Amino acid sequence: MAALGRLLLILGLGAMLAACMGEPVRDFGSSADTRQLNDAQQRRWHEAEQFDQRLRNRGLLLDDPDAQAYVQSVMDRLFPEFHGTIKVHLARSSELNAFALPNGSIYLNLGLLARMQNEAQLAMVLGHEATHFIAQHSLRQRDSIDDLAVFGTVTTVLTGIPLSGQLLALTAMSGYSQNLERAADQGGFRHLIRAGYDPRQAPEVFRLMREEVDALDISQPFLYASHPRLSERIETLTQLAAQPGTPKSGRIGREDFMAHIGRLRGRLLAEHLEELDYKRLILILEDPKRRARYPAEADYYLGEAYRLRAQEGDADKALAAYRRCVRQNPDFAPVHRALGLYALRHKQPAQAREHLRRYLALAPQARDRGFIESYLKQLDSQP
Amino acid sequence: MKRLIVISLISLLLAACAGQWTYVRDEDSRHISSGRYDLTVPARWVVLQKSDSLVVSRDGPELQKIVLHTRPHAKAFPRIKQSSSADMLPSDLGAHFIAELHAEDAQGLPSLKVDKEGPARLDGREGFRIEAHYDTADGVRYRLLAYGVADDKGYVDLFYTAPAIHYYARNLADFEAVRDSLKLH
Repeated sequence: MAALGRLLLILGLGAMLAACMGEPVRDFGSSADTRQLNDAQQRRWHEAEQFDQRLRNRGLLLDDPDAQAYVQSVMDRLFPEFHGTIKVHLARSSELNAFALPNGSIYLNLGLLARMQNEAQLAMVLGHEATHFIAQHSLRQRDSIDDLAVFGTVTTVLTGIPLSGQLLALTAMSGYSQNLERAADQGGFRHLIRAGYDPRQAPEVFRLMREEVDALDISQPFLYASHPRLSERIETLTQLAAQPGTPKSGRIGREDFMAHIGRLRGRLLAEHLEELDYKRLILILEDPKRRARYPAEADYYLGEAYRLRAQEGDADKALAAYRRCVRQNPDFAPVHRALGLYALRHKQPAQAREHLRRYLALAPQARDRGFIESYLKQLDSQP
Repeated sequence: MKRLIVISLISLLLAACAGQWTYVRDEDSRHISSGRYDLTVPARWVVLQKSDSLVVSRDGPELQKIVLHTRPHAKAFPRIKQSSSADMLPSDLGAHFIAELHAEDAQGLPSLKVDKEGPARLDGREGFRIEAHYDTADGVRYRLLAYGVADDKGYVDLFYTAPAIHYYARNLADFEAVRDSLKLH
């Protein structure tokens, strides 16, 4: 962990050093430009590749080839001249964030992706992040320690890696100065239109994230998780969309987006649970407007959040949520496991038998089959 | 000179806080006891004993380690802030054990994946057995084998972890011998 922190510190300091040296920084025009790097750029490129490898090794990336290919296809549609160079990685974290590394790696968190509504919104975020890479904002960033120190106490960062202190030296992760973020808005917006997307969706994605930030009581300094910084994006993009000559419609791509990304909403709930973030899960799923965006099995995750939070009255709330889930999705195996174990804990052998058997019938390859079979054996041996 | 003394004193204090590794020299020193357990560890390994844990290793904890935790129910899973109870289902105990490891801010553990889980006994008590693996940021794969139980006195887990290449298989039998020697009281 310390080694990862050091790597990030080097990346950040390298970027600041290059900025101080006053070398002219030019935008990359295409992939070909990235093959003619100076020494400092090559070093940062290599360090960023090491960072990619470390995130991959640590299992922090989402293992969903279909979603990955779809998101990459949207990026390639936006930036065909960088095909093969700009690579999108989906991170498992539920945090609202995305960031670009100096080697063209764009990281998009599950927490941000699964909350979007259509392909045009995704295109806006990808365009914004890719512009940071193309315009080499990590070299242009001149805000330094003073600004970064604001984030010094933050311990959980965008990728979901619980780290402290040094990580925040990496400006790419925490966001750039107001001017560079505005430039990224403009770059992203320009490519959004060039690729034929509906420009009205550009401010919409940030509006959606601001709504989430407010409703879920999120207060982080990162670009996609900060009310003031999201408000800046909305203002800039609304102005750009209103400019004369800007198209008034375009591709939205809701169906394609839902076909490839929709199922990740259930995965996001599972991730919240794995991160032990019961509070946010409950906030999301007890709000009828938000609940409607999630799949039928969402109540299973709500039940688990109550069970694990284990405050007074939570056991009853968990049971009620499991029952709602089983009514809406009777073939969802995990809820039968949850109901079976609930009945077992509460000495209700008939219900326990029924649900645990159903669970094994629905999930014959279940990893915990040994446990369930042992419980059924005990139940069957009871009079 | 004065500086050297200060540094030495600080080092000693830190060592005292962190606990001391002790070398298992002979047959007599293989038997380790506490108010909660008796255990036999392999000869010529090193042992770090603390109030609620014991770590045993031959070549260093990065290369193989056997870890025993004994905790009161209220503090059974401190990182995830969950307790245990004597009548807890073994599968619930196992799920908490895994969540606790996931929550550990250490190399590789966020990537931990369970390969196999099921019921097992530890010193005659019913509990869980879990096989899992995880990868460090440097790409080294580790394997892990764990047992855990809860009884009237609290929660106990015993696990073994080592790099999947060479070390895990080499010292697995040593871990099984430690597991079989464990007596809880």
